[in-house]
Amino acid sequence: MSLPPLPKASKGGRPFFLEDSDSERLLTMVVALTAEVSVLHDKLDSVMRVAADKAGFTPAEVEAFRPDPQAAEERARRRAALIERVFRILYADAERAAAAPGLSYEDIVALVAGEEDA
Amino acid sequence: MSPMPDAEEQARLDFAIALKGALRGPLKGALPEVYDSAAAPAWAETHGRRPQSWREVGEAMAGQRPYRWWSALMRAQQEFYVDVTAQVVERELPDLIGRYRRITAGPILGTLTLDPDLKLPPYQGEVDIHCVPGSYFLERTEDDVWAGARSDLGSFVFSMGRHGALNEDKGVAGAAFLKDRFPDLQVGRVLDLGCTVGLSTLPYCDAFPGAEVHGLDLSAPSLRYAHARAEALGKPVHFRQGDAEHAPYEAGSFDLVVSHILLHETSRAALAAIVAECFRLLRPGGVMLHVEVPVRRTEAFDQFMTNWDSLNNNEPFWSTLGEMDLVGPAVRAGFPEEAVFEAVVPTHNAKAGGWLGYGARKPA
Repeated sequence: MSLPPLPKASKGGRPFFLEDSDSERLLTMVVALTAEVSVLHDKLDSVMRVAADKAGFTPAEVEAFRPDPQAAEERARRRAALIERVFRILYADAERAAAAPGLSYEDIVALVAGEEDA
Repeated sequence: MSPMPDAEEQARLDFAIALKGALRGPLKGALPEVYDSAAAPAWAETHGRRPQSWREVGEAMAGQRPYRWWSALMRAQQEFYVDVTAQVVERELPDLIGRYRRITAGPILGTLTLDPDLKLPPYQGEVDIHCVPGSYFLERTEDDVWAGARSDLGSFVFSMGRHGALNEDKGVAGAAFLKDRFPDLQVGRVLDLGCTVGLSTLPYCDAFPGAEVHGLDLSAPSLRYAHARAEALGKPVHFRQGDAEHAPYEAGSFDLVVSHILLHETSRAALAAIVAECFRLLRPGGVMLHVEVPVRRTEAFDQFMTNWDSLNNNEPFWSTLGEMDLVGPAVRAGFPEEAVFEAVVPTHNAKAGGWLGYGARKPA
């Protein structure tokens, strides 16, 4: 079946939220790349679990492998952790937003520097 | 009938679900505090008062970095999961069309009636709802079911499985709500408006055994898929392509006219026309029920967050619906004011919450 390619743009325009829309374009690439890292992790996980079961295995066996509930849960935990790692700075911003404002770094430098002995 | 992701595609979908889950966590959790401690005071400095409407909350939040990044990720996440589901169905399309042809060629329980001359109303034609390129209407080959299959897979991923294995929650919840509220209602014929692939239509076959169940939608690819899916699941449903504003059925021919998350994808004018059609289609004593996303919020900040999809996920009517008086259109359609209701339709599968139920009973 030969079909025209699926369209990639949705009718209705595309909102941008960041101050620089090119940064946001990069963000969408980071999301897709992070997904591919996650996909590779899952595939490697399948390979290792299949390999653990028997010495030799075929690519088809790896492809057909489906995690049991416990393995699926481990994968889910790793995925969530991956997301927190990649987007760590945003989580940090969120924490700062929720916390009471502390001293600025300049103030801290001044604080620890103390005053010269008279 | 459902499309089956391979191992790699499933891993991508799992990632999309994980990312969506993460975006409901601390990044979103910080936003009320960002609003209270930074956005609202900054807005108040230039306006002399704190924001009151959800639009003003939006103005106040627009400059806040945590909100901008959370939104940017939300949009990126939405586009990513749509793209992955689109690719899964694209790979499986020849097989899905084959299955559609095999299932519908055999002995069947229901029917499918398409109308190739149907014109799309502008509220569907001008925008790709949910940012799905091609929306519900992309047709590139004979017996194309791509848009229906993608919608089925997409709905399941989008709801993260919280709406039941067959994504049936709205239909199950709607039918249970109707039985509870109208215990005397005799149901022989049911019409589900804007049924898409029939996720919410099929539960009415189980809830009202023996009833004749009909589904109407604008989208031929969705209806083909819905027809094959219903047959594969052994549910007799009569699917028809048509416009809910001008439904191709006789007056007074249904005991129950329902819809599920249809209204927020229409327009103010279309909503009035659809409600008027419901009144026309119902027999005396029949009931109309629209099960909607819970668009009503009392706090301006909550309303703004609820409206995020309307502003940024191609759901243009959602925010207007949230503020609309829904009694008026029903009364103008002919329903007595005291017969019109807005109520919470308790969810069946999720742990908490509910859908917005909007409806009325036609006088006997």
